[in-house]
Amino acid sequence: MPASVVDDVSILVLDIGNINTRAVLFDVVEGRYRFIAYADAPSTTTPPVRDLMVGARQAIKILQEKTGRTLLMDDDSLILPSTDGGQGVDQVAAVLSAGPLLKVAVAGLLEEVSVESARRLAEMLYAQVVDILHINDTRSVSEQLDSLAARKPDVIIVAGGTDGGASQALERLFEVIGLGGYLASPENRPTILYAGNQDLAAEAQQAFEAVAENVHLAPNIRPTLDHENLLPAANELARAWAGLQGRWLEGIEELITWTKGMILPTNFAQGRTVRLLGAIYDSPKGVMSVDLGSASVSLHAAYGRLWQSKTLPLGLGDSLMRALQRSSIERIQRWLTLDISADEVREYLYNKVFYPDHVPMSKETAAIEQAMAREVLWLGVQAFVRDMPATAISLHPRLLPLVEPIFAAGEVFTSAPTPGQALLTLLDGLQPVGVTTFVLDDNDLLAGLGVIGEVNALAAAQVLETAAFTNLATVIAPVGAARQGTPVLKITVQTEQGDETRMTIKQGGLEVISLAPGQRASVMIEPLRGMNAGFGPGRSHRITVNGSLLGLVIDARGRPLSLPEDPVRRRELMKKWLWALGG
Amino acid sequence: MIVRKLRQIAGIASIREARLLPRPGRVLVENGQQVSANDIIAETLIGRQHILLDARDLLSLGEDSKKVKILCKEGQRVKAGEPLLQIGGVPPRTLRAPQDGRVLLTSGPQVLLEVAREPVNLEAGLGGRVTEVHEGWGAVIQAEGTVVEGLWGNGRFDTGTIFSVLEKPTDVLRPEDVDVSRRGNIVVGGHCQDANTLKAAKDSPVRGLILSSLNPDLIPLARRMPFPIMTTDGLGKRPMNSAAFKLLTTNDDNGATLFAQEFNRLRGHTPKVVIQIASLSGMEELEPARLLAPGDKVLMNLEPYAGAVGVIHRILSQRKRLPNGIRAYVAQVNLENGERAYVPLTNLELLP
Repeated sequence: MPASVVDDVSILVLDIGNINTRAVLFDVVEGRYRFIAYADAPSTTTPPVRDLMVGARQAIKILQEKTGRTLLMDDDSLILPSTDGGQGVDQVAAVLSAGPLLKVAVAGLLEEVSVESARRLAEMLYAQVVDILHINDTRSVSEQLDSLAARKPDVIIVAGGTDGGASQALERLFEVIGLGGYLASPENRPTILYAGNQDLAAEAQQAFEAVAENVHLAPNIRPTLDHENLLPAANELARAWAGLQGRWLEGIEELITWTKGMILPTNFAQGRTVRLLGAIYDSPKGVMSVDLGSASVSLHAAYGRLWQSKTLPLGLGDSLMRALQRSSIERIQRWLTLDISADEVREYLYNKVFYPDHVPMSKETAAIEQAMAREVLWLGVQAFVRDMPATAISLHPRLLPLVEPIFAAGEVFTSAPTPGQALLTLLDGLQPVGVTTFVLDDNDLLAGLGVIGEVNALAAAQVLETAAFTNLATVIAPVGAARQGTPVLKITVQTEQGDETRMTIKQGGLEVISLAPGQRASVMIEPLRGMNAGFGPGRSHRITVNGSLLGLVIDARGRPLSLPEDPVRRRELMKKWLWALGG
Repeated sequence: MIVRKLRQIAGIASIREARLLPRPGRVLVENGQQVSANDIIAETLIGRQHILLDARDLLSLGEDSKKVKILCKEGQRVKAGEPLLQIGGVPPRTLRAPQDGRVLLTSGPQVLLEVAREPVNLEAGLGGRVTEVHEGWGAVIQAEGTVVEGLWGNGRFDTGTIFSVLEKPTDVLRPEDVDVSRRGNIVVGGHCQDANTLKAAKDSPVRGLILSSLNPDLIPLARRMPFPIMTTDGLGKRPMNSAAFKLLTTNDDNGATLFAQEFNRLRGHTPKVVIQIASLSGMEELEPARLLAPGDKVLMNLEPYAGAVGVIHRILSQRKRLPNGIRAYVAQVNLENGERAYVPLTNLELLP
């Protein structure tokens, strides 16, 4: 039941990841919800500790030290609800990204219709699609069964058929899935989500309940050929998340008790906040977030009421090898500002898999990790743009559509040595176009507010207004064909204090105009030679820019970004760009 | 700050290892029973292939599937050519078993056949006592011995006697180190640089290889080797850490089991070798994670101190900026080479 401000309810959000566990406190201050404090500690989900609550309690203890507020009793039990003396909290919610990736099989009728939607649904979770079944599958039924028996999916998403449409083909698919479940040992029985033709929902329940760990029914994810409806099915899976991952995570029962079951996948909660922001802004431009972690990269965008979410099993630690399989050492090496041999890069990355929580200690290793981050982001963008809604404004088929702001979560950004390194990693990896603002989610609010919104929508809305994020930079990135060194943009910046700066930007340039946090400026953007800064080819526009850590950054390096083949020239250029952003 | 000790490296310790079948079968041991490493403790059959026979594939359009008669029973063993389904009519049509197998399921007009079954015999892996029986799956064996957890593993398992060819942690394993004289041994070597060494080990044949590190180019070949391979210190050219070196070079001729399972941190899979020894004096409990403290001996695993061992001098209470600008909670560590370095606490692995 939604609480109101009058209830004066304090909320603790625990975010349990594969590397870090975070505790975030929200409370009412002067009649409105505010973000109070954030603390983190190493996660303890893996051996030898293997109890997620150890790390959670450690993060809460650090939060206590930071706030001076007692949250745990002497025996380490949580004070819940709060006391009249102001100790403890009233509500707890949690987000969870810890644990191995979920193995998902998707099944549907047509590969490019229901199967594609089922795949997109799987990509809203921390999942790895291990098998795909459909009626045009060239494998025999016997081979499909062998495949399911070998791959042992944790979850099978069954979709297909328009509501009220034909049912015979779907019934044959039920038989295959049912036999697949039958062949699994009781310990490996999959959870099955049925989200197909609703006329067959009861039949699906009956067909699967004897051979599945659990059967979930959700509205059809493809009720008509041209309409996709993923959210209800995603909600169903998100609510089952603690149960699905609980098999791997000791301590989950206590977390369920603390949260009264309010546990969501972290990426799902982030997507929820982005959808909320998309609805609030209601702009033709999208709102976007990116979260790059040890095991996955998540991208979310909302364009008014339309949205897209994608989590790929590519990361900087636990899933690093998977990312390397989709890329190459040479591709990663080309993002380095330092002269580091391919063998050194490979050796560091291969061993980083064993130590995903290790902090890079030298300039070289930090540079390798940032290079890897660029590559994973770019792989994420390429997958993301494939599923872009038709309403998204795209200036180039391989690039992100117009989005503003872009929220960035993940240690590689929030703990980067300098704001310039964080921004350059994001710019190179995402290659945004037009005008956008980069915001660091250094207090872990995207996920926190996403789960809070489930229990206390008012709190989520009010905290969002307080802007407890860190503005990194506003970026103008024009798109168009121009030769290196030719003028492509005129910029006129007028601050509220009356200072005026005029600049002509050349193709290939990366320029910074300082505008500190708290300052505002009016910026006139005049594209030259038909360049498009997001307002149409050659069209000028005036925008208002708020100050940030780096200020206004004009990225005229070209889109898609093209790097020199010569490694020495390339490194010199990368260094120059980094210096432009303050090093 | 909680520190997760990633690996267990202990001189003499009590070890519990769950040995489970890949699919249900029959457990052959009882609780409390003493077993040796090569004893078979459970057995099963693995159905490597399934064949679904569906009478509807033979029915004409509009033909009633009620005309289908099942001629076999669930669990029945059948020979190739044996009739399994019959469709009534003149003449009747019959679906026959394409191969020898077992009928897993009959349902409506369908028969599911399991074929090409392979027997799986699960060895105890450790000489010790059965402390828990998982009915249908296997058992937990408790044993005493030296345990060294590694990092990379090729997914295989075997038992043998330990033989070390290592003289110093930086040694490189050569083909002549694993010649025919090492037949039946689990060989402790250094870094493996070239394919000829692995091929020589295969020809020998050895029962296993414990390496300090492996050239990443050799990963595909190492995965194809029929014997288990584990590295103690990762991939690339890395010396063996001093704790593992000390234990692995002082146990020649002792029986050992090499569980070279593939590393998966999130699923808790780590390769390891368990060396069984006669004398059990000075038993150490494998220590759970605990707070790091001054005086602790620690191992560093990644550059710029990969493989270095040191002793914590002091732990700083505030975050410190590293040379690359990243801020982290750190310890000041006295390295064995005399150098003193600030190292993030998360980068320190506690050594016994």
